[in-house]
Amino acid sequence: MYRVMIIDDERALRELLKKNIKWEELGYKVVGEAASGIEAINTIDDIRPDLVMVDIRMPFMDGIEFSKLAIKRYPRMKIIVLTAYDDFQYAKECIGIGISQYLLKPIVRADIHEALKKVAEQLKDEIPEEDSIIRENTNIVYLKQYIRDHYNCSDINLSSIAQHFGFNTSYLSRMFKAETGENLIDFLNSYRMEIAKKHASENKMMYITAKLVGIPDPNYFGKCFKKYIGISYSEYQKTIL
Amino acid sequence: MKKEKTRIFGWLSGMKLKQKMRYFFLLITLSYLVLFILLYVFYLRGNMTEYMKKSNKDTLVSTSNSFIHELDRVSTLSHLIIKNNFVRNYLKADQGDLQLARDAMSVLYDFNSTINNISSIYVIRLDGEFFNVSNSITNFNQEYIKEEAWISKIADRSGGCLISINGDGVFHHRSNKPLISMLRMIYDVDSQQPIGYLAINFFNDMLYSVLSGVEGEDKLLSFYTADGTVICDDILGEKYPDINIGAGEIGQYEMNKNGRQEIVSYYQIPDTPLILVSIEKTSIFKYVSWNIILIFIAVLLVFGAGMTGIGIFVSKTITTPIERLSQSMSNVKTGWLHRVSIDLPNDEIGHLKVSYNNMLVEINRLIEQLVEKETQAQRAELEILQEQIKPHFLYNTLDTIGYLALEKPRDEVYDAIETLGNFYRKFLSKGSNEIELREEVAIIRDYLTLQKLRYDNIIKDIYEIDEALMEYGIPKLILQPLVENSIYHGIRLKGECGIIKISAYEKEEILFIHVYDNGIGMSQDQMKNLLMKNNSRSFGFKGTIERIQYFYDRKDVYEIRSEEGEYCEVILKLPARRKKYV
Repeated sequence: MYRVMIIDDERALRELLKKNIKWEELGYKVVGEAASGIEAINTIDDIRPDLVMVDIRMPFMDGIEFSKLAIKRYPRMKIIVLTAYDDFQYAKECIGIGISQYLLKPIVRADIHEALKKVAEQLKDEIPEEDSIIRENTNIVYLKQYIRDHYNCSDINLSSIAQHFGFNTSYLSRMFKAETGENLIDFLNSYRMEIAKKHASENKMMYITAKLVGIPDPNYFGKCFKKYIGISYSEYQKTIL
Repeated sequence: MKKEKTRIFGWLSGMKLKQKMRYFFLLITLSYLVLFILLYVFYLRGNMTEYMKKSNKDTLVSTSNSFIHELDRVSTLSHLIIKNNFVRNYLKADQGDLQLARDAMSVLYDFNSTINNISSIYVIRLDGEFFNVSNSITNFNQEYIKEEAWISKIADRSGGCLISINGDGVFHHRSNKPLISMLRMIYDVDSQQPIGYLAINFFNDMLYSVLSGVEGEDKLLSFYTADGTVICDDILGEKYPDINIGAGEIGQYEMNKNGRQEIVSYYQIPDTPLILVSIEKTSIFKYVSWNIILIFIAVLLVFGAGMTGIGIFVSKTITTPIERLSQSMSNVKTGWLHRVSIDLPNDEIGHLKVSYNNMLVEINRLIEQLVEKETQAQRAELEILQEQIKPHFLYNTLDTIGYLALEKPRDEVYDAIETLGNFYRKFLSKGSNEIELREEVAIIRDYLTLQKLRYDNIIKDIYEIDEALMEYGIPKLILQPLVENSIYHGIRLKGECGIIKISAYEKEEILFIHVYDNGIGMSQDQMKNLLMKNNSRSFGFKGTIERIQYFYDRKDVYEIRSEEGEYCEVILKLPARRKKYV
């Protein structure tokens, strides 16, 4: 079973894709979804998809931008772009950066099935990823400092940190958990939320705080805040003011 | 009458400039001529007549003087006869002595040979005896000298001469030619008693010699007697007219003969029965000198030449260039506004051409601008439509409805499809560029209903529009792009549920429509850039504003207010009016 992640700013479309495509028959399983490119950056290391289905028109980080980043960090990962924009310029750009398929909305199941079959063929031929470079004795303090220095980069995640330090992603994940007792992404986001609390107390609006802490999608930021702090951003602001 | 006037004015104004010019010059020349004729008839002619009269009078007086002078000369010479001793002896003798007469004759012969035109000379005794010298045959009627009246006439002259015709009937020339007689009494030196008469008869040729040299081509002079008889026959053989001689010594009057005016003057020569008459035909050339006529003709010629010169000058510098210019300009009738490229002098007409060309350039520029504006407006509208019709909205919505079909109750699916259909029907409806506010609001409602389905009800829409305003006409699809901007550039970026409020009111005949959202708003810079830069946000806004500005042909149609992080509000200010139904 190949793992599939759906990224689209419309919930309806995500649901439609999940329900409407016979994933199992084609050897796929939908393992995660995201409502924006920003959310996807933050969750993709957990989800570890083999295939990403991404919409082009999304706020904060559009599908093309996300794809460029993803192809750099996850070279084996396949990307299918879904778009309602029948635009040659987009299509050309997609082919140029290595996007596997370019499909037009509205969804036509037969087209998607065919694309999925082609992608499955490509995935079959791929050599499984190897743990290439492993560096011992990395100072976890140094690692944490790097995270603290770069929390406001919206594209930072486990993979980018691993690439920066020359680690294998899963090694870094395991190592960080073993050393600190929490996931790296949780460390990053809870640090971001601590910063966000400061901004909140300065009465900054949520979308501004979101931008400042490296999660420019205020919807996803809202989710994170609630997850790590326990209450919503506006509720938090009410309690402290 | 009025009709005639209009017709003439029409004819005049319909003429070409050149024609008008010609007629104008003709008119001036004619009036010049008429003026001259009037001058001649009423002024020159009157003057001329006066002048002629005076001149004739002078001529008559001077002629008469020379005649009298001639008579005086003869009279003086006649003393030679009177004082001659042989003549005296003959007269003093008791009776006419032939021998004595013969002695006296030589004096008469001498006299006769000295004076011209003498017909005969008589020396007559008181008793009627006489002797004479004659150049032609003259009858002497002795009866008269016995008559008291005849004698007293001569005696009254007391030694002076009496001038008479035919010696008052005493003499008669055989050829019936009138004789001018000079009679005088001869007195005795000692006793101062009359002793006889001297009569000198002249042919009327004597009168001719007086007149010769005075007469001219158009001027006749003649001697008349008081009863109107012509004494001196016409030299040229022309019959002298009968003239009316008044009582005065001198008289003048005008007479028309065969259409020509003649001036008749007469003068009673003093101490004679003769009246000197002159008849002159008036002629301008006689009184207006050839020099003056030549000068006049020269002036006329110079005037004509001047007029022709002016005509040529005007034609060359004004009418012809104007004609060419107007011909060239008339090309405009054929459609496209071509500039005039003919060569014209650098005067007012040249300036006219330049101004005309400038005007054409301006007109062309305006037309181009208009076309450009129209095209831009159409393009903007088309682009908005394409942006929407390019069916991403439809496709996305279809996917949304597909999801509803799988997950939600059927009536919700039906509602969504109905809304979608309704939206597109209104959105794509053809016809007028102007629609009622009601229709535009309906489009917004449907649009937002569909967008709320797609984005999980993150939008709340509020409408505050007075029902009375709903019938007002506004350009089509001016609110939808603004609402779309509110969603994509305002509310969705805030990560919170947002409000879109459409409100409208009328104030001072302006329809205000507010499109308000409480999304992330805009900074001052962003607001400034809205109409400058070409991003997706400004695209919809700019196009819409341009369309509105073009539609109403006014610049001040909107206002934009925003506070970053708080709200954005676009206020449209449209002339309040009901939709026009074409």
